[in-house]
Amino acid sequence: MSGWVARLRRGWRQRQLKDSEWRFLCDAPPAGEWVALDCETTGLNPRTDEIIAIGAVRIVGGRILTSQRLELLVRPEHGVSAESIRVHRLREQDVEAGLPAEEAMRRLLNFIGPRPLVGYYLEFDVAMINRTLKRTLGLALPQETIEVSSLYYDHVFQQLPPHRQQESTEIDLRFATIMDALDLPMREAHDALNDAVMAALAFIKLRQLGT
Amino acid sequence: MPNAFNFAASPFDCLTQAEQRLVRDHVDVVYFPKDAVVLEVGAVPEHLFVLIKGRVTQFDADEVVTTYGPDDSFDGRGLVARKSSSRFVATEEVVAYALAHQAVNELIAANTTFGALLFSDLGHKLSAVSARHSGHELQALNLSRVDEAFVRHAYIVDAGTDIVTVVKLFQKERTTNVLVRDAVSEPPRLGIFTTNALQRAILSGRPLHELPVGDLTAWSLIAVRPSDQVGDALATMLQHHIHRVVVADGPVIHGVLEALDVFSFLSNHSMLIGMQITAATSIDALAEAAGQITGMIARQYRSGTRVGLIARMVQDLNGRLFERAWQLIAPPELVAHSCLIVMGSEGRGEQLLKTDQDNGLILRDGYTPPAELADICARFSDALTRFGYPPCPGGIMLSNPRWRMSAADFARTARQWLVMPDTESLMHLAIFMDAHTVSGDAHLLEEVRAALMGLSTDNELMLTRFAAAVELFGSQSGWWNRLLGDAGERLDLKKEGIFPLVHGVRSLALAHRVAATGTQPRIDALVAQGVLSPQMGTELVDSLYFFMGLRLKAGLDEMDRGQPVSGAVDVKALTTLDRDLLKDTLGVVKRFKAQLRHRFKLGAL
Repeated sequence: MSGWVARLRRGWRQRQLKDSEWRFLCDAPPAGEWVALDCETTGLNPRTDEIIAIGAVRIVGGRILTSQRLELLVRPEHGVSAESIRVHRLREQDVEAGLPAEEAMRRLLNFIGPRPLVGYYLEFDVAMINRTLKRTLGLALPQETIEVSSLYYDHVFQQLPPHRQQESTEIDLRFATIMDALDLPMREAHDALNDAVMAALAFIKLRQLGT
Repeated sequence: MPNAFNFAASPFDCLTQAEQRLVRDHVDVVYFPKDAVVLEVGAVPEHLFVLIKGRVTQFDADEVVTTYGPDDSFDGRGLVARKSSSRFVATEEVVAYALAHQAVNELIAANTTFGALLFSDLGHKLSAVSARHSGHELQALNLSRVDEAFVRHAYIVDAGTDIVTVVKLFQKERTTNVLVRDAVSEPPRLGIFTTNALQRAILSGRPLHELPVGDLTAWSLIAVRPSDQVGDALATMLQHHIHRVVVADGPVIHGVLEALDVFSFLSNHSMLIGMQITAATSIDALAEAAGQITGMIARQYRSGTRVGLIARMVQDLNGRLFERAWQLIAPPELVAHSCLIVMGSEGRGEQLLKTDQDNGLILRDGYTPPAELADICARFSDALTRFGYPPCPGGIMLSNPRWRMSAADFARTARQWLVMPDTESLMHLAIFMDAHTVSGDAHLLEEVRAALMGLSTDNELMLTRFAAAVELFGSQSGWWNRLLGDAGERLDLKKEGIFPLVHGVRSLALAHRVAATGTQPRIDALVAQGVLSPQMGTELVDSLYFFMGLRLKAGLDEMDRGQPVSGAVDVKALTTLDRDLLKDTLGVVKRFKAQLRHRFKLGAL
């Protein structure tokens, strides 16, 4: 998405949020702060599947504030498929204890505030969240989003010798590959919080490499 | 990633579930690029850092103090003191947990082991470790095999044997039971008759010399296999309310296992080896007992017995082993008029796994030894070789005429070592200083030692040369890096840790006329004289036993893999705690060497 479209969209969202209790989402974000985010869902279709867990941490400079993390279990309206249980290991009875979607969204928005969002394959998570937000609070996330895999793509691309930069270059963007290439520790995946922390680490390192 | 916090690494491995939750709730993840300063001198640390990935080096001024790797934590001391006394630099890019100061304080208040492991000085750290080991001891011995326990010889009589004959056998063999074979029944059967059944025999009213033992025998034998575990055998006895079981492999009877023996085995396995040594009437029987010592050491160590205690047991057993062998080989007159000494680590009581024989024989002045003395001594050295003690490459054993002399000649030789301190003399002096009597007249050794001590302190140059050996080994700062360094790096603990410590203490003992032979008694005496501070004394003793333990562990592992014992420790295979303690203990040696350098003016040499 090019810059002016994003600006336009942000302006539209801002107008939409005007006078609502969620205006603070559009304030100027505190400098050097971001929120890394990851969701576990009942499936991979943003139109039909539901969020069951959200993990989010604030990033301040080179520090990931896991001590002030947000970990939410969300009660889905439809059930949890056996296949997805295998991935995230959250069973029906586990999510049963989760928050109603609206309450979860309120807490999430308060946690994020105006900070830009960071994640891996963030588009998917944001789409999932926006669908729930629209249904419950009638709004969508206005924050800037930073895609770790695209930062990584740019980083690798810049390292390439000039002649290869001309071709359409295949760069492996799998999460494990990125963590490995950046020499970052890979921890047990498919835990929303762990995934968010790892994305945050990749983001911090890529920023470091960029300066 | 708080969910992935490694609670298996020290000091976090002693936390309860609730305390682990406290950690998870107060931990951040931090990133430092290469060369970033994590903590500066004088900074007020807000966090305890626990490395996830990368390395951090601690500097004092420009000197490297130590290096931290994954699962290591720092700077605990700075956190409590509210001021960091060193500079901590990311020598590699670092990802680490940062645990909030307040949470660390809460953990220390709630869990003393955690506090001890994290901050306290070395002694507390080591005792915290041994506290965690306690309680495993009995369990491990329970897991020993039955045939490692004291299985008694089974006496077998025919069912027709009369009771009087059986009781005579009880008395002669000092046993309380016989196995009874009934060849007449179909099929032949085996039973047991014990002293308990004697009451029934007497009460039966029949003349005892006519009463066949078969009439009063219990024919339902309970047996265990030699490969069964001692604990299981004991459980079998308790289950059947019996005091003994037969140890049998199918039809082959190995003997009888008595409950009383199991209890004594469980309480002190070394006692049984000691009994075997005392009872041995041949070198073969002694060799069998000697073969069990290493197994006992391994069990004791793995079950958490303190290394100092094991070393004492081993010194006691070895002493008895050598004494018994010497008594079997040497004529009584020679034993009475001489003094058999062991030297080096054996003399100090710090030997665990068998090393070279270092021994000698001091003969009473004026006593004429038997003509075949050389032959007797050679046979003794051969016996030790059979027991698993390889001959000393330097020939320091009584089969070498240079190490068997009259007391006067020994004293004269010792004087020469002092007057002409060349390399060999100094080595002989060092080894002899650790001499310890195992058999014969201990006064002979004391005389020679007294003569030596009377001379020693006058010669400062000699003392300096003697003490200078602590500088022979050791690669200065090299070993710090080796702790975390490249794959396959091995550390020679004897050279880097044990030798400088033991020899430094020996040098001080010589200079201050301390007659004790063990390193710990020497340290105690030096502390009492004010030569060493009590704190340095404690740290040296703790460090020595820690080194001995690590070396023993490495040696036992090598033996398990069927490799020769190298004496080297694979630094990479150490646990975080051991690595941490090794850094501290090697640091103690470093400080001790600095003290020796000053005391003996080693720089002037």
